[in-house]
Amino acid sequence: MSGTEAGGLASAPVAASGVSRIALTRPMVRIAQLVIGVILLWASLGKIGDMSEFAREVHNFHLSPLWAEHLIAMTLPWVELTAGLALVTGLRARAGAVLALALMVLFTIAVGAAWARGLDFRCGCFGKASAATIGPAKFVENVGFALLAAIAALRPRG
Amino acid sequence: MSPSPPDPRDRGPRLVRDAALIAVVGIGLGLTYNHAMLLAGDDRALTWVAKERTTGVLDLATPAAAGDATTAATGSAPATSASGGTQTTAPATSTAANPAPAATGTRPATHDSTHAKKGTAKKSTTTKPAPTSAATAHGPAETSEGGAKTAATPASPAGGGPSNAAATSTGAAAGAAANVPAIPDTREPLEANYSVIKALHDADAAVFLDARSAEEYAAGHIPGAISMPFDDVFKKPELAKNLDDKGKPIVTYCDGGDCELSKDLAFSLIDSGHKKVVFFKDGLPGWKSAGNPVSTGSQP
Repeated sequence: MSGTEAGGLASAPVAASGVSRIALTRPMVRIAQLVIGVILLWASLGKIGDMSEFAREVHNFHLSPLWAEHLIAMTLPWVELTAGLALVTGLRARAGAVLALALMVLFTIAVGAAWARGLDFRCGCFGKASAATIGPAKFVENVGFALLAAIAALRPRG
Repeated sequence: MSPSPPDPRDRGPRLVRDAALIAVVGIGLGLTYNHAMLLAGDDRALTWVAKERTTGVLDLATPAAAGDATTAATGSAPATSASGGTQTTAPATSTAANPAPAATGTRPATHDSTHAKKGTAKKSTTTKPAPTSAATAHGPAETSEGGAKTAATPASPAGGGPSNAAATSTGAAAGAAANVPAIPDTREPLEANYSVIKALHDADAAVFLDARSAEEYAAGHIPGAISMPFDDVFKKPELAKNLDDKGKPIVTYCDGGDCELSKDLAFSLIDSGHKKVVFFKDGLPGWKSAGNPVSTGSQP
């Protein structure tokens, strides 16, 4: 891999560019893309099915200005959906993975902030599909998803 | 290492641009979808801008808050909640037919994350008497604003006043009998202050639900409260639907402060058809700090 190819976001998302050269073959990256893509699709459909419920969950985080909460609730699931579709279909899969990584980092920060403040409410991360509440388990789960998205965003070897 | 054929789409700037494009497409789809639902009058549509609602806080000292809350909350239209940039259902809103709006005790108790059918939200903020048909299904107490006010007002021992409508409501009658505040029928859970909660508890005039986990409930709960963890209700909504409220108002609580479980449970109860639902924001800590006893174990 040339230095030029290794530049930019091709390796930037993860400090494990060395890992990508050693172990992450194209099938492995593709699997990561499929997994994170399915997760995003699942999460998005759960939220789109009940936007008002998701809006309540957004509100519970107390991280965004009030006026923006509905806008977030009505658009974020669709961003997840399009990113998930890109990952699953393979069309602009790496771009979808970069977007998924950005989303996961955002979610991880939100969950971490809520956890740190001792908030106790249902995450709403998967809409109606999950009743998991904010806490260490949810934080770790989000970190895992972020790592998976990072792997999916890597340029595979070969 | 044999280099793979360079793909210009994999370059950083192009990658970021594509990612941004995907995000923009998603945002556009989301806005379009919501707009289409708004045009169709779909209840699931969200208002473009979330507004904070100032739901009345039920308090013995501020009965008008409850009365106005009732006016805002009752009615058969699903558009009770504010929507579409229309006016929010602020109980404190003073109108000609609400001569005694709540001047105190209002706060952002619930979030306007709900929705409304287009063109109907404003009706919910007016003081137009609620349709009789809606009232008959759940009790005459909500048939008129006068009745609503009476129902929301802490019943006097004499039970005087224009209580024709309120007196026919099971909850209102119980409240009148025990000099406890009658909880109005609402489409949004109302927040109740300690004084209301204490009065309801002492008169056994409400069903108390503990929204926390079963373990937390066993460690200590309000005497008489039933354990109904929100997580369980979330997984099995029929738990809320099948709850026998015995014709009494329902009070939900959790750990107070930032605990949202009680409010979430209250919303679930409303969604499942219960009409008189309040949540106790101060929760168990507020109950204990007032010197009240706490029960332990898995039984109420």
